[in-house]
Amino acid sequence: MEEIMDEKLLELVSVGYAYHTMQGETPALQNINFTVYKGEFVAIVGPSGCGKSTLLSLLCGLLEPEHGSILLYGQKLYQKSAGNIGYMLQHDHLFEWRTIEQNVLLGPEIAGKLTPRRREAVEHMLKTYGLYKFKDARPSQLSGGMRQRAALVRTLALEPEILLLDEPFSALDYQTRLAVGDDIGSIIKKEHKTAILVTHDLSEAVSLGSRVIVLSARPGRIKNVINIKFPEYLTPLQRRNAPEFKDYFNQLWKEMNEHE
Amino acid sequence: MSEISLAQQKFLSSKKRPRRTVNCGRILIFVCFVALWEGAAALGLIDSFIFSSPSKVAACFLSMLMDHTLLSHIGITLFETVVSFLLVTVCALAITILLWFCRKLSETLEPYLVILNSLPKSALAPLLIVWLGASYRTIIVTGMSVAIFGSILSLYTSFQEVDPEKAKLIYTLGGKKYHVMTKVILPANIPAMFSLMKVNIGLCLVGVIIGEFIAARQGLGYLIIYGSQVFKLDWVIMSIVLLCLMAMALYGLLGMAERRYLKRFR
Repeated sequence: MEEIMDEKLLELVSVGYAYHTMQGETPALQNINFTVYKGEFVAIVGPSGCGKSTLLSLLCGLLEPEHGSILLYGQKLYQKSAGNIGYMLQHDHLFEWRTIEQNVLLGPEIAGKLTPRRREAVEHMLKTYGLYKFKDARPSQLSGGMRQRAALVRTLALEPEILLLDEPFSALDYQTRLAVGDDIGSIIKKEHKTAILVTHDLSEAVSLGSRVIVLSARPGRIKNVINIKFPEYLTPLQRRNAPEFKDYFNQLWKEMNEHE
Repeated sequence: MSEISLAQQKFLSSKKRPRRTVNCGRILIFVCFVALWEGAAALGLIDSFIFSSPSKVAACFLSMLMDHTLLSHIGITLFETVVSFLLVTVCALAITILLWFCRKLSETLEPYLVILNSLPKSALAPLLIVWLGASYRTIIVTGMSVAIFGSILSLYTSFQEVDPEKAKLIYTLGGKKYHVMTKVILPANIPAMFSLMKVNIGLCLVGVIIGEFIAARQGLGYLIIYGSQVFKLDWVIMSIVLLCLMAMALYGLLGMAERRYLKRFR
């Protein structure tokens, strides 16, 4: 595992961003520095309003950093081909006027890359993740967990190298949330993707992440970075039952509540 | 099919009963109205010269059908209505798409659209006739003028109401503003367009009749205005009944198209 982890994929160098309105300037992020290596699962936690979503928008090139730079393979990122980075939004936003298959093919369709090879890859993913028999169904016919899986397949259809997850489970009920978190964590591992998860749920961060970055309240700065080590074979759900889990959780909990 | 349980049967019949009552009520109102009207005219309670009567209207309808004048009146009104409706639909959609792409333009034009929409469009009709001449083209434009400004405004509003997160999704998938339009805004607004079309078909009919009142030698609007001037009230009432039927049919056709579209999602 170690040798794959050595390749630098994404690098943030003193990134800062502020929102401007007529009423004034609201700094959202200040001096963010971190590096993501290939195959890592980085979780970012922080209190609400710490600029987590802003960070993801910056990472996928929807926003341009005001200060500093974001490098993908050592090159500036802003408005480069979005295909390299997949963004999974908080809600699935599957379109009711499309079938599941048409929904998951939306990315390639927009990019004009609806090649037979791409279709086959997507079909394979639908089969692997238990969605194939629903490929002609409408999104409303699927359960919340299945919809979230379909949204993940839609993101993966463009074969991104990095996946950004913006609290993708927060709209689900607790039971489904655990199951889908487990599900999606396993899928990402299986597809050998690098992922960055943003969440305010500490246990989610510990169960999925290989590294947790803790942000401070607005303006968001990096407060601490905690490396998470579990035996390789544990699924996210099994991690929750491992003895180390509660230690990491408590460490994060302390970190979040310090000086506040 | 499996056997229906007793409770389910009871439920179904309890649902069906009010429906039947409603339908019976509707037919009863119609029959009573026609019978009262006919009876009152026959007994001399109302002056059938002014109020006409169902039988006189029916006779008038048949005789005009026989001498082939009626069909051309109906045809021209129908033609003008359908053409102005189609033009309104296409133009409103095209203009709204343009406004959506060009925020500055839409902000600039907004007060003008609001004024034009709240203006009583019948006030424009005489002007249009002077400018464009008394032809069916003018009447089509009159029909359009009634519906188009409101259509643009309400379509633009429903374009704006589409969840911005859905647009963000398109951007995260590498799409451009053009893709937001074709993949999200347009398909998301098809139901809104159907309900707008159902409103517009009625408005276009109103506009066409206004136009025909002022500048036509043919059409049901002409028949109404001419009939009232020469005291042929059978003509007037027959034309109104025909307009009712025409409006119902056009609305029904759109409703059918809408249901067919929505059925794909069940």
